[in-house]
Amino acid sequence: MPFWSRGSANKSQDSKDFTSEDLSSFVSSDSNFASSVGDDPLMTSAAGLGDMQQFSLALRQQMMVQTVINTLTDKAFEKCITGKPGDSLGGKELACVNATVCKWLDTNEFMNGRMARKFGGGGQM
Amino acid sequence: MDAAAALQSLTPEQKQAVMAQAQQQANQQIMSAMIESMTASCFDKCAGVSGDRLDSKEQGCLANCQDRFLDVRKAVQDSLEKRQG
Repeated sequence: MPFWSRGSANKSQDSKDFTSEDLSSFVSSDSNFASSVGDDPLMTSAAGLGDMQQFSLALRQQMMVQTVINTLTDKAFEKCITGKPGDSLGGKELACVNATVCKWLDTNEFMNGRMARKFGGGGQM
Repeated sequence: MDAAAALQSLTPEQKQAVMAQAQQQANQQIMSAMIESMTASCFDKCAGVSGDRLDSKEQGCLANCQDRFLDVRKAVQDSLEKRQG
């Protein structure tokens, strides 16, 4: 599951909960820290990651995702809501938002890929 | 004892409190950033250049704008999930 997936746990949350991928499961009980490495205390310490570090990592990832969502929202709003905003989003506007998201993802891939081909593994300019 | 070790040595209750606060701060930061760009965009779309207060038409526009902005945010989340979920 990619990092921006909101997961199945919090589907019932209110749509206005902007950070619906919150880590409340981490807070609810000691045994809920991470799902794989964290289940086995021996593995956790072997991996060198305490539960707090795992939480910190997850929180940082969540921040990254939410920041991307904010950026995309700005771009989509700019591109797709032309003129004065109406009473609701029309089908055309929704399709535009979807296209903006998809093309932004493609753009990232394209730019990164092409740069990698230009400069190869060494990263020299 | 460094910070990481200090954190690890907290009691479970203390850890929960630290994590809850960190989550709350993270949420506030995200909300803050969103509201800032929402306000800037809606100002551009709705605010005229005459008078010294927002009139009712401008306020109505801002209300719509805010709601549409939130709709767009939700649509963005849905698209991301659909594309790579």
